[in-house]
This record gives sequence, structure tokens and C-alpha cells, in this order.
Amino acid sequence: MYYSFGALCESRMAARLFRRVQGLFCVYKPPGVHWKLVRDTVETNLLQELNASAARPVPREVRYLLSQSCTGDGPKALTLSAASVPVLSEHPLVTGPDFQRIRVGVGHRLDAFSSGVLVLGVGNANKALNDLYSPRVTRDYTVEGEFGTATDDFSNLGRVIERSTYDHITRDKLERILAMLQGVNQKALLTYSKVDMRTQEAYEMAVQGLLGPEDKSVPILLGLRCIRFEPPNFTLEIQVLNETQKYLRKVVHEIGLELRSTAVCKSIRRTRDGRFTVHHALTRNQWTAAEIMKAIQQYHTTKKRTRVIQEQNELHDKKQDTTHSQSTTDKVDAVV
Amino acid sequence: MALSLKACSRAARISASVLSPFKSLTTFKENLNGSKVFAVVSEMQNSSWHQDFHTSCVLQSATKEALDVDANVEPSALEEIDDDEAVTISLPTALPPSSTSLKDYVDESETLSKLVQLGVNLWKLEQRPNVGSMLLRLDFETDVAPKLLFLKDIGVEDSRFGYIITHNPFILTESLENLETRVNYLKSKKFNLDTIASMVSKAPYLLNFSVKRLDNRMGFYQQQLNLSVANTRNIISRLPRLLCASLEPVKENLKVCEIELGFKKNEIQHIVLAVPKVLTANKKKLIQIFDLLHNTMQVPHHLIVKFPQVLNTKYLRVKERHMFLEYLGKAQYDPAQPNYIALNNLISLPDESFCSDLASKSPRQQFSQSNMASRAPAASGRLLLGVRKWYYSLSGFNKIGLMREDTLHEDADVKEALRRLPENVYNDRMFRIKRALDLTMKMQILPRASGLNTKRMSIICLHIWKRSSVKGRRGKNG
Repeated sequence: MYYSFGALCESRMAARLFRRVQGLFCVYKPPGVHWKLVRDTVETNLLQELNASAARPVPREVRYLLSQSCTGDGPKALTLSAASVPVLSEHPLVTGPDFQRIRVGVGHRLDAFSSGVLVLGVGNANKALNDLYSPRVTRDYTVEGEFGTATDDFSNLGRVIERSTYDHITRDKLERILAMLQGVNQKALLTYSKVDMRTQEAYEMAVQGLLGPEDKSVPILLGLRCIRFEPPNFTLEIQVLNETQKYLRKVVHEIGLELRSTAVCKSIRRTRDGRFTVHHALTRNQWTAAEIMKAIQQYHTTKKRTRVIQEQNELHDKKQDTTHSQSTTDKVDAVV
Repeated sequence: MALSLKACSRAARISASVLSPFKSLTTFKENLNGSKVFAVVSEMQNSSWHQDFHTSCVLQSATKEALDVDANVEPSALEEIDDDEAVTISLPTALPPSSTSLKDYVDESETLSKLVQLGVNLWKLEQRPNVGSMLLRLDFETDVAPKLLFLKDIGVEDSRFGYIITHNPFILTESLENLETRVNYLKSKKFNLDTIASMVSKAPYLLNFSVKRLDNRMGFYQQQLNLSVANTRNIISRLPRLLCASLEPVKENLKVCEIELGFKKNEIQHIVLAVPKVLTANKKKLIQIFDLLHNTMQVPHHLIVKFPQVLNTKYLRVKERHMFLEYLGKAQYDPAQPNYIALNNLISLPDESFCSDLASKSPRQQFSQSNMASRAPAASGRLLLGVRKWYYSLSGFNKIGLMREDTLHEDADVKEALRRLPENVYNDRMFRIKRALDLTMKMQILPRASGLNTKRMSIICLHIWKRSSVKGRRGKNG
């Protein structure tokens, strides 16, 4: 049963709390846990706090009750008296809690093996979650790999299929393979952006960084870099579009193959999803209404700030254009 | 009392199905027109706060005379009656004949109202099939009150009645003799009355089981675990749920402990005596946490037996704390070694004291680091040193035994610095250069075992000399 606003008018605190809890925020999903469990836990915590704050007194009504008069001689001597009686059909033990469900939606999902930033939206903010799915929004991952084994699901928890040596692998070789991968992905990016590369329009889009697929496409790695290399372990930093975590593990596997060895993925950690980074993520002990409200507030202020800065930049650009055009006209006059 | 009682009473026609929940008392009443009317009046008993409340349902019935369809059987609603009769004809409430929720009946039913006052969660109970109708059919004085008084006699507190009835509404339909027999059986097994009260309080279904079943269960635990009678009593009084739940999961758990986890029989006994919940725990979770403790944290069996509460904790809690300690390099669970961290401290300390005592970090750091254990620290001293070492070995000169300063190009400043070197340092440098020239001629490198390949970079003595010589030169000129 969704909460009915009418029934809560008496408990204004709960209504206020509910309004403030609606928004977008991100949590840190620990590895080994299904994303649905995280979403359910957050929903349960919010429901508990809202129901606790919505405690209102049982309404009373006046009823006319029959009372036996002392001098009565039989049923004819009955009188009615008014009494204020609690209406038990409105008692919380009979109606159930006020809040029975809150719509908590999840942005880009994370599978049970990975960890990292998971964006959640509450109530009306679920509509904004759709914007996260736009192709302009990218994600950052930190992927750890290990040379020497190949498994069936490309992770270190799978069934081992093959083992190989990795002494021949140097950082230099790894960098070369990563560069090759990046080149392939850059090409895919250009292909999927559906503009003719020889036009001025394409150049302007490329300058502004607007090249990219419009709709769903294959996963495209926008950036790929090796942060750490201590054989057999290595760490990559990846920026990616339209991906799944299985694809990232496959990338690690393929890197192993390209290096004439084998590799498995040890951990995947999402450090950024759109505008939400690991620094904004709420840890497990912070999944309470108060912390969520704070996180939502922070997100609103940063959004406002960036919007203000953007507008200022636009104004600045416009001013520059006008001054530039003015100076050209002056020059022309001077020449003449 | 100018209520429209007349109109309501005359107009009310309620079907017979509504009458079933309530005890009815039929009275024969002649109405003013002379035709016989059955008035079914349901009578609620006197209660302390709820006065007599009559519901009257009026049914038209066929009389002895032949049915005359055109005759005006019903008296008119505008007919006048005297005040006494008006008072007796009370307002019937429009009770729905059937409903999905008990809240339509709770204001009229004495039983339901009293149950709500006791704290029974009717909303939860009505979701269970058939329980709502069962509760409606109960009569408070004859069905509910004796059982509650019986529970009170045993010693169960009044505040627990709501909890007990919410979890086990069928205690109200169990006959009183059965309840007494079972309590007597428990007393005969030497449970004292307080224990029995707490057992009933903690496991509401306890008294619904027959004596034979309770006996069976107690015998099972005594045999399987090889416990003495006193110990069996102990674990059952602490976890009375053991007598209520089915035995198959318990048998499986015991098998898991013995075969899969590898505990010996006396170890299992000890664990169960300390933490009886292990018998009813989820099998998968038990295996998961044991796997973490034994295989990842390398804790041997005897240590787990020493701290059996570890098997009862949340998996994520242990995992996070262990990962945090591992990141700090303090994950040491062997009592023979220094910096030993006891398992009970690991799990039972709250976050604040865990961080300050064991890890000496702030809790925010603990959560952020154990969760986001940054596997790529930007510039920690150890990592930087590693990078430098790696880079140093990448350049080949240390393989032939040279230090970086030995490879400097000899310009004027270097020559001056060399002139200022103390004699022993100069002799070492000369020896190294000679050895390197020899190795290059023979196309060899220094053997690995000598450890000279991985010699650290010198703390720049020549560099200092060089710098001072440069300064000196500049000093002269500018």
C-alpha cells in the first residue's frame, strides 16, 4: 500500500521527512553482495525511520452507549449516554504501519562480484535516474588483474581452465597492448557517433567532446591506463560507456591472451558513475535517513553550483564574441 | 435523543450470514402492525470500558397467514412510536458480511478490541489464512480470558501477552487441560516455574506441542549431543525454539559441523553449550563464515572452539574488519606471536573501540579504507621506494656493480668534487669502476647471490660533494 497523504496530515513530521528523503544519492556496494540486497536494506531502513516518526494518537469519537439505570425495572429503563471512545479501527496495530513501501530505484547495476558506487533514487527522483542512462554519462572503474590463470568466468573465483607463465611480460609490452585496445575503441567511438568524419560538424563535436553513440551500443572504452604493474598483479583504470562488469572481466582475459599468457580479474571497483564519485558514496553504517538527506542536499548544491558556473561561462563567451566582432570592425575602419 | 432510530431500524435488512460471528439471542417481538417479526439481537457482555452495545437485525419472516404480496407488511418509517421503544431499537451498524480486513469488525467485537488493547498486532494476523475468522469467532470470557489467566499463573508477564498471541494465535484455541498437562510435564523434567515462563515467552508455540513430541525432542538433543540432563535443560531453557522447530535442519547442521567443518564430537558439544543457536543456524551461512575464518584468516579449529560466538556473527562484519586489519598489516590471530588479536575482540568490540584499540585509526578511516581499500595508494613511502628500486634496476649499471654517481660524466664540477672526496670513498669508487670495466670486457654481470645487484642507491655522497663544488665555483664568479 502506498502511503496516502491524507492520512498523514496529522503527522506532519513524517510527511516533511518523506519529502526531504526524495532525491538521488549514491552508496558504496560491498563486494559479494547482490545489488538488490543493498536496495532492500536501504528501503527497510528508510521505512523504519519514517514509521517511527509517524506515530500519531488514535482518534477518538463520541458514541452514544446504552447504560443500565439503577432504578430500572426491565429493559424499558435504558438510557443513552455520550462517551468519548477511541476508534480502534484507526489504531496502528489494526491498520498496519503508515508507510509500507517506498519506491527506491537503482541506477546502473553492479553484479555481485564487483564493488563501488551504486546510485539510488527515492520516490520522485526515480525519474531523474533515467538521465543517468543517457550515453553522455560515463563510468570509471579500477580493475585488478592477475597473470597466470584463465578461468571460465574470467574472475579469480571461477573454475581454472588454463595456467601459463608470465615472466616474459614487461610493463612496456602491457602498455603497447593497452594502446592497441584504446585505438580500436576510439575507432568504434567514431563509427558509432554516426557523423561523417570529413565534415566541419564532426570537428566541432570532437573538440567539445560530444562524439559518441546516441543510443545503446557495444561497450566502448574511452580511457584505459595501467596504474600499477607488479607481476603477476596489475591494476587498470578504465573509463567506459554502455558496459557490463562481465565485459570488463573479458577485457582483462583478452589482455592476457594478447600478451601470450593468461589473466583473470581479481576485483572490479566502480569509482565514478556520472557525477557521483567514491567520495560521495555512503558506507554501510551510513544508510540512515539523516545521512541520506545530507547526501541529497550535497548533490543539489553541487548541481546548482555547476549550473551557475556554466551560465557564467556562457555569458563570458558571449561577451568575448561581441568584443571580438567589435575589434574586427575597428580594424576594418582603420584600414579604410 | 432525536436520532433517526426509527427510520434506521425499520429500513435495516441484514442477511443471516452476518449473524454467525456473534452469539445471538433471539427474541420474539410483535411490531405495531401485528405481523410477527423475528428480531435477532446479539448481546455483547459487559466490559469495563465498553458499555452494552446492541446490534439488532430485523428480518421479515413468513407468518402463519398466507403470503399476501399486496399487503402492507412493513410499517411505515414515518410512524410514531413512543420514547421507550425508540431507545431500545438501537442503531445497527452496517457490518459487511465478509471483509479482507479485521478493522471493519474491531469496533464492534469485544474480543478484537480487547486483543488490540493487549497489544496483539491484528494487521499481521489477518494476513495469515483463516486466523482472522478464527479470532472473530472467539468469545472473550469463555475462550480467551481463561488462557490468559493461566499464562499469568505460570508467571508470564502481562506485557508479553501481545507478543505471544501475535506469533501464536492458536494458543487461544488449545484446550486448558492440554496446556496444564504440558506445563506439568516440563515441571516433572525439573524445569522451575520461572524458566518455564521465560520459555513460553520466548517460544510462543511451545505449549501447542503434545507431551510426546516435547519428550521426543528433549531425548534427541540429549542423545545426539551426548549431554547430561542438566546441560540439556540449560540449552533448552536458553533456546526453547529448539523444542518447537523440526529436527531435520538440526540433524543436517550437526552433520555439517562434523563432516564438512571437521569439528570433533567434544568440540561440537562445547560449541553448542556456549552458543546453542548454531543448531538452528542457516547451513550456508555457517559454512561461509567458517570458510572465511579457517581458510582466509587461517584460524585453526581449536581457536574457533575457544571463541564459539564467532560462528554466530554477521559475515560481512568479520570480513570487513579482517580486510581492514590486513590492509594495516595487523591481521595476526595466532596467540603465540606478538600483536595477537583475539577473535572475540575482533567481533564484539564496537567500531569506536575497535579502531582506537586494535587498529589505532578513526572509524571513518576504517569504513572508508576497508570498503574502499584503495589498492592504488598515490604516494606512500613504501610504494615510491618500490618504484625507485624498479627504475633503478631497469637501468643496467647496477648489474655490473656501479652506483649512479659512478656513471656521471666528468665535467669540471665533477672533477672538483672528486678531488674533494675522502680517501676511502675515492678508493671504493675506483674499485667499482675497475670491476665494471672488467665485467664489460668479459660480457658478464655480477652473480645474483652476491646481492650486489640490488644494492640501494647511495645516499648521494658524491652528489653532495658535487653540489658543494658547484656552489664554490658560483661563489667565486657571482
